[in-house]
Amino acid sequence: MTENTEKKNPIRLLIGKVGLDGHTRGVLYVAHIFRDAGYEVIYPGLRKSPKQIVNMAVQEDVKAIGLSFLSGAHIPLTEQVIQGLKEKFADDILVFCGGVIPDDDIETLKHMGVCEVFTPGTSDKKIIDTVTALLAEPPDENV
Amino acid sequence: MKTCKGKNIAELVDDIRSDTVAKIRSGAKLMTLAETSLSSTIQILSVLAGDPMPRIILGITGAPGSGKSLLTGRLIEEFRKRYTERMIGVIAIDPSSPHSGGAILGDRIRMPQYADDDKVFIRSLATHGQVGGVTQGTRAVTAIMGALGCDIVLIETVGVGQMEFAVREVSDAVAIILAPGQGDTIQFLKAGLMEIGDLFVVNKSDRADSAQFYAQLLHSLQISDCARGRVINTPVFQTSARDNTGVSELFTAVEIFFSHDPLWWKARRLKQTKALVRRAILSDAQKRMEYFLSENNKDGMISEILEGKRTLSIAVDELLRNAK
Repeated sequence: MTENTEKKNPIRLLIGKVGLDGHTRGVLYVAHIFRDAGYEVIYPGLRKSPKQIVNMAVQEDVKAIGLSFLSGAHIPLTEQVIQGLKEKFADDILVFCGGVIPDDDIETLKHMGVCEVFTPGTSDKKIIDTVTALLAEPPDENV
Repeated sequence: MKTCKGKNIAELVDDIRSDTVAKIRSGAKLMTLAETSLSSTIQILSVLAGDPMPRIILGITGAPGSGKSLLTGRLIEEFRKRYTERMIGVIAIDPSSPHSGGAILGDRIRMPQYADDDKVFIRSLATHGQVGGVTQGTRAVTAIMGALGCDIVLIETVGVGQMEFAVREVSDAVAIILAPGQGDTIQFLKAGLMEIGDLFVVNKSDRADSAQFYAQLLHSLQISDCARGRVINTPVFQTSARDNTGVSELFTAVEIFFSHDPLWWKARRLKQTKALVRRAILSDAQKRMEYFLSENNKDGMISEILEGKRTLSIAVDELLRNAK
């Protein structure tokens, strides 16, 4: 009986930025709203390479990675993160993006495996609800 | 492609003993399990009992803003410079929110350059309401790091005050990090945190008021050492994590500190682990009693104790007989 009365630990996320982009306001805000929604947020700091983000996500055993962009380099950098996850047997980790991302690129990002893209003006509630719902349904097990 | 999702403890342990890509990922998953409950912590510890343990488990503690994370980063750097082939593990603990239960785990910001380095395994943990500065799974996470091949494990606690010293129960020795401005001779003589330091570090020694602070600390520690009849004075180091000074000396001293009498360290670790199992037993027993009290509507029992119809001790006897 003891096991099922255990309180579940919070879900772990990594919320960060990749590449040469120092605009922190958005990423810090999103990290904060996830904290207040009961998530454990690993915040890795700025100017991380895709490889670094992947290594951290694996070591920290996060369920999802949120990447914030203002630089315009969202397509190649996100692609490298997703590729890196595959190489580490970690492609069950969800990737979502946010920031200044043109509409035309959203489809491209989703096609490469990004589960959701949040553009400026999205409410905090929408972000939390969407990510919570995405994490609730287990991703396909491609064994 | 095969992921590590949904594997059980035995499968994950097989992975970490292997030399496959899944090794690190499975180790990380095992750490998540270790944090879920004390019983899984104990289960993992028992499975890994025969695996290698780290040579050194050093606790790093101190008040918020003393420079623990940056200094930990410098120690990683020094280790990797000295032992290019060996792996180091870091457990970085930050507080959980008392409101939402969430957390921002940001110690990694101070150790940025190591995310590329396969020989550095950093794991951030949140306290989940635990007091004492460490988490309930810390011991098992350390053991997993050992099994993954970490030679040294550094445990960086949450920023602490005067009363958080649980790090002592999960590390071989504790380094207390202080910074100028954090008190005077009397502050250092108070009971609590200052008593558990095996070595002390005055960080931010680049600051002008650091020399006076250092002198006051030495003065207090000499009084303590004298009062306890210690022949060797408690070591104190001066570092500046910002400028990377004094770190090499600190690292050398730590290694010397641990180099004598390996059997003593081994016995100490066994004692710590046994204490943890004991705590787990008591915690489980308490949980079962609470369950029994709430499930079986023992409110009557509580009222009867209040009304003097039953003594506390008779009521507890009944609980112990009936709780399963």
